[in-house]
Amino acid sequence: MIELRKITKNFGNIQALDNFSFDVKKGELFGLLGPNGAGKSTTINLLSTFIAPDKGEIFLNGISHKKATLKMKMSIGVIPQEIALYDDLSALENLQFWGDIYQIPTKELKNRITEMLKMVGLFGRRKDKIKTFSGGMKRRINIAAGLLHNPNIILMDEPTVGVDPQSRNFIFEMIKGLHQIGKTIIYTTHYMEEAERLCQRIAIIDQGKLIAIGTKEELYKLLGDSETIILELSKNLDIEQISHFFGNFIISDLSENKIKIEGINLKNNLSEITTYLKRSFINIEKMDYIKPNLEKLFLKLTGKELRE
Amino acid sequence: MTIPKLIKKDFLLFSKSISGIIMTFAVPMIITLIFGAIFGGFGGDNGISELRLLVVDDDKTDFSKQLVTLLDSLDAIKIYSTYKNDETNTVLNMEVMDSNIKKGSFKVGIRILSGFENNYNNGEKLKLEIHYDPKFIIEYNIVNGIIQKTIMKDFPQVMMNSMFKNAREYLGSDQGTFFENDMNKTIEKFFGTEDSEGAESQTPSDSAIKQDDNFNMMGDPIDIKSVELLGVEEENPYFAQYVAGMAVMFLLFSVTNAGASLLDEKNNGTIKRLLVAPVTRNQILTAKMFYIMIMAIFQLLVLFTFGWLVFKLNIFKDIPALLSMIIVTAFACSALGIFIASICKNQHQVSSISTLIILGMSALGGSMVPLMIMPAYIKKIARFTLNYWAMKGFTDIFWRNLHLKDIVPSLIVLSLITIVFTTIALSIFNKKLMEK
Ligand SMILES: Nc1ncnc2c1ncn2[C@@H]1O[C@H](COP(=O)(O)OP(=O)(O)O)[C@@H](O)[C@H]1O
Ligand SMILES: [Mg+2]
Repeated sequence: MIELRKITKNFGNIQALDNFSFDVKKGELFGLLGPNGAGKSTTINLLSTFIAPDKGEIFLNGISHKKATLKMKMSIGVIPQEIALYDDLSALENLQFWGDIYQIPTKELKNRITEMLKMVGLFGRRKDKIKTFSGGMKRRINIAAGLLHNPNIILMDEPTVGVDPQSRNFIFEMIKGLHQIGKTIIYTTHYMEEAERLCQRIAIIDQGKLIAIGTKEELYKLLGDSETIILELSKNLDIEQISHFFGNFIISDLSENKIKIEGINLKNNLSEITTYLKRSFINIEKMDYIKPNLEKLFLKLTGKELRE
Repeated sequence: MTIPKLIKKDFLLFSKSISGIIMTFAVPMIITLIFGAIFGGFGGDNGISELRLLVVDDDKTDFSKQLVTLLDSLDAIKIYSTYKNDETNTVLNMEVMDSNIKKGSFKVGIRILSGFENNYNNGEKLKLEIHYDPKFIIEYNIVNGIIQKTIMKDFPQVMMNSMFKNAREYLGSDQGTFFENDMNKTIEKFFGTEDSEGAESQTPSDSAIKQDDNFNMMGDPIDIKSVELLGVEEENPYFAQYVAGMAVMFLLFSVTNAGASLLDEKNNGTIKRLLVAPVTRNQILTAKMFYIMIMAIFQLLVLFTFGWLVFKLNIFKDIPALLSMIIVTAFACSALGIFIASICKNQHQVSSISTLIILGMSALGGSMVPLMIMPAYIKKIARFTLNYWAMKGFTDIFWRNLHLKDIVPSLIVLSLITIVFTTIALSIFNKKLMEK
C-alpha cells in the first residue's frame, strides 16, 4: 500500500533522511518512532507529496510519487504536526473551508462535518472560534479537518503533542476506531509508550536512518532475553563486593541506595539476591521489574536516550 | 474552482477581524479628518524655490516688453514667455498659458492686455491679468505684489500720469499742482518700504474673476484682474489632497497587512495543509493577490466616498479617469505590500519594516504634508515614491479637472510598479512557501 524505497532527502547540509526504506500494508496501523529531528515529519511530508525526495522512490497504492495525481492527493488524509487551522474562524467554518477545498459536495460535506465533530466530541463547540479552544480540542479539530474527505490513507504527525491526558485518550480511541474500519494509518511519535500502545508494527528512526522495524514482539527480541530489576535499599551497598557473588548479572549503581541488576533468567535467581541482602542486614524498600521496552531498545541500538 | 474559495476564506477572516476593519476604514477616516483640519486652510509655497512665471504679452509694445525684462531681472522670478512648438520657439498665448497652469506645470502666469502702453501714455489704468491655480495663493500674492511694486518703482511716471489725469478730471487742468505734496507721499510709500502691504493682504474671493481693489486711494493706476483657473467649484479644494494622500497611505498599510497574512498562513501550517490538499502554489498566490487587490479597490472606493460626503470632494468629475486611477493605485499598492511581506519572516517583522517604508514614502511623497510646501530637493525625491504618482493622478483629476488621457503618465508609472513588485514578490513567495 505504502512503500518508501531508499529515500534520501537533504536540506542544505542537513541530511534529513538517509537511504530510508519501509513499507506499510493495507489496513495497518504503523508507528514511526524517533526523537526530535529524526526525520519523521520529513517522511510524512514526502508521503503527502508536499516535498519530493532527492533520491529513491515512493509508492502509494502502487503509483510512484513521480506520477502523483490529484486522485492520489484525494486518497491521503494528512494531520500535520502544526495545528493548521484558522484561529479566528469557528470550528464549523474551518471544517467547511477545508471540506470545500477537497471539493466535497455541499450536502455531503454538511453530513461529514456533523459526523466528524461528533467523532472528535466537539459538536457542542462547533460555533466557537478555534482560538478559544484548549490545546487538546484544537488537536481534535486538526484531526477532523484531515479526515473530512474520507481518505483511505491517514498520515498523522505527532497528533498528541501538547495535549492533556483526557484528550490524548480520546485521540487514541479515535485512531483505534479508524483502524477498525480498515484505514491504513501511519502514526509518528517520539513517545515510545504511544507507539507500543497503539501500533501493530513500528519503525524506529534516528538521524534519518532506519534503526529497527517490526512488530513489538519482534523488536523486543532484539533486546535478547535480558531482564532488568531496580532495587531501592535501606543502605548503600558496595557494588564491587556483590558483583563478585553474582557474576552472571550486570549490577550497576543508579543513585544512592538504588541499584540496577540486568541478566538472563533474572526472575528465577531473585531469591539468591534477597537472601544475600538479608544476611548483610540490608532491607529492600522497593523493587521494580522492568519489562522490555522500546526505550531500552533505542538505547541499545543508538547508545542514546530516546528523550533527552 | 479553488481560487474563489480561497478568496472567500480571506474575506471571511477579514470580516472577523475587528482591528483589521478599524485599521482599514475607521482610522484613515479619522486621520484624514485631523490632517484636513490642521492643513485644510492653507496651501501655499514657503517661497524657497524660485517662482516660475508665465507671461503672455498681448500688447507687444516697447513699454510692455520693458516691464517683462524688468520682471525677469528680479532674482525671485523667472519668466517664461515662449514655448517649444514643433522644435521652434513660439510666443506664448493665453490658451497655452492656461493649459500649462491647469496641468500643474506652472503655478502662475500674467497676461498684459493690449492697450497697455497706450493707457500708460494717456494716464489710464494699466490692465493686467494674473492667471493662477487657486491652490497657489501665496504665489499669486507674490506676483501681484511684485508687479505693483515694479511698476510703481521703475515707472513712477505711471503714478504721476494717473494723478494728473485724475486731477484734471475733477478739478480742472490748472489746479493740478495742488496735489503735489500728496503725490510725493504716495510715491514714497512704494519706494521706501520693502513689502507692499496691499499685496500681502490679498485673498481670492469665491468667484473666479474679480477686480483687484487695493489701489484705490488715489484712483488705481494699475488694474489687475485675477483669474482662478481651477478647483473653483470645490467647497474646500485643499481636501482633495488630504483625502487622496491619506487614502494611499492607509491603503499601503492594509495591503501590507493582507500580504503578511500569507506569512501567517505559512507559519501556522495552513499553507502546507492547502498544498497537500488539491491546491497548487500558483492558486494560493493568485487568490491572495486577487483578495488584496479587491480589498484595496474597495478601501479606496470607501475612502473617496467618505471624502465626497465629508469634504464635498467631487468624485463624479470624471468617473472613468477616477476608476482607472483607483484600480491602478490599488494594484500598485498591493504589489508593494505583498513585496514587503515577501522579504519578511513574520507578521512582526512586516509591521516594523512596513511602518518605516510606508511612513517614509508617504512623508516624502506628499501623503502627509503637501509637496508644494516642501523644499525643491524633496520634490525631486518624491518622484521615486508610489505616493507621489498616485496622488498626482488623483489631484490631476480632482484639482486640475484633467481627464483620462492626461493622467496616462501616472497610470503608466503605477502599472510598472505593479508589474515589477508583483513579479519579485511572487517569485520570492514561490520559494518561501516551501521552506520550513
Ligand atoms: N524545510 C527544511 N529546511 C531545513 N531543514 C529541515 C527542513 N525540514 C526538516 N529539516 C531538518 O531535517 C531534520 C529532520 O526534521 P524532521 O523531519 O522535522 O524531524 P522530526 O519530525 O522527526 O522531529 C531536522 O534536522 C530538521 O531541522
Ligand atoms: Mg516532526
